[in-house]
Amino acid sequence: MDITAIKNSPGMWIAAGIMILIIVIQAALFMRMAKKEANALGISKEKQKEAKRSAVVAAVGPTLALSIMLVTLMASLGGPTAWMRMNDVGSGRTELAIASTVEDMVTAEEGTEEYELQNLSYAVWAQGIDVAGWLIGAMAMITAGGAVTKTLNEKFDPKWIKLLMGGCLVSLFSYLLINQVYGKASPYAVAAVAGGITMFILNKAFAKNKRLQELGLGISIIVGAAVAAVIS
Amino acid sequence: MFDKKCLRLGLITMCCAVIASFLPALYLWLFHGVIPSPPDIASIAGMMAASFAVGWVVQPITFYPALGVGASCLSWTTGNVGDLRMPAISAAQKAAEVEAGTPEGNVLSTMAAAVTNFVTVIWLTFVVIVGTGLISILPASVTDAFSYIAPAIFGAIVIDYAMKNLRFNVPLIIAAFITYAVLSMLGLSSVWITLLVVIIGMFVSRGVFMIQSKKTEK
Repeated sequence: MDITAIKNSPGMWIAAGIMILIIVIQAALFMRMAKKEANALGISKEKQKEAKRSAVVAAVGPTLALSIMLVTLMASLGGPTAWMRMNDVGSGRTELAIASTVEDMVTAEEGTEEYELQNLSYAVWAQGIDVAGWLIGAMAMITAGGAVTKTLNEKFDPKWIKLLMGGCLVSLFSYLLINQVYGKASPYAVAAVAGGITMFILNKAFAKNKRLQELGLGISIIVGAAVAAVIS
Repeated sequence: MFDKKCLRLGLITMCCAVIASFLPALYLWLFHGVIPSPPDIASIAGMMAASFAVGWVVQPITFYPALGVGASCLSWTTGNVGDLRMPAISAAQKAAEVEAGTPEGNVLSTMAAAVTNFVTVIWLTFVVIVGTGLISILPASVTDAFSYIAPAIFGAIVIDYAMKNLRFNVPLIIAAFITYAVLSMLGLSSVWITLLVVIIGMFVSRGVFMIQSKKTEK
């Protein structure tokens, strides 16, 4: 059996599909729980809908951006593995890097089918370990984080803790912004500035237009990326 | 209570995901008889841990205060936390007019993260099915623009936060930029820079909070 056939075999699709299934079930269960809690907290159905719509709009751009990495991975690792790793916590760039680092450990003679198969096996083991590492690290830290937040809320003014949590979001986004722009080619800065200006205009001029506010981030992404692409 | 339920559901589903992440490797072993030798698996694990272990631990704790329990579980199962889940969460919280870190904010961040997980699964599955053809018919100008999506998002969100609370958020933004510039000149890796930006931000927000509550007392 040649390596491309194995990479895209039904067995690999099923193995990858189970991860996707877990992701979908997890999202559905959390969604059901969040809906119940939102109703209990008195967040109106209308507001919940608006929030979900805004999340979808904001997620579309970055999701499209994943397509190219997905196609790149499909070419090197096969459809199922690429599909799985782009959906789970393994990032495309890391997966490619991993695949090429483990290549050196493979003992079979290069160019043979045995080599290709071993190579694939080493790569999926490395990916599995990486993804498991992320999940286990996250589980440990989320568990610890809950305990820390509880003590903070008991020891300090909850009003200040609320500000602190919100502030973390601002710090993170500031970091992510500067990380995209600092030391990079000018179109990246142009995209950031154009996106920012678009958001500024939407906030100032259309503050009363609820629908436009909801689409605000989506519009800013399109304008920012388009302006940068035109200029570059 | 909601946090507790989220944690339990998160731990169960994430444990399932840990097992699932090894299924392709097990399939190749059981059906094609190929598996790295135990010492090789150990050295792969060592290599992975050496390169990524700091990230595995530091990143989830860095993002935790902003995401809350539910969204953390969802986001760390599917990844792309900074550039995809977080913008969607902040957009959802803005649309519903709730603050991050409050019970309402945490419920909506959970909802938003779940929604984005659906969006990425649906889209990526579509691309895998229709295959590479779809991407190759897109003109290069469009695919080039994809790489500018991230800076455009972050530019828009940072401006949005600055406008929302000028006195509290602008000092945070400036502090983050300065911290980043100094630390990256010192050659620190991005994982540590992210964590330190958040920690220094906490001190800055504490300072601003103290100054402003003093002002209101007067």
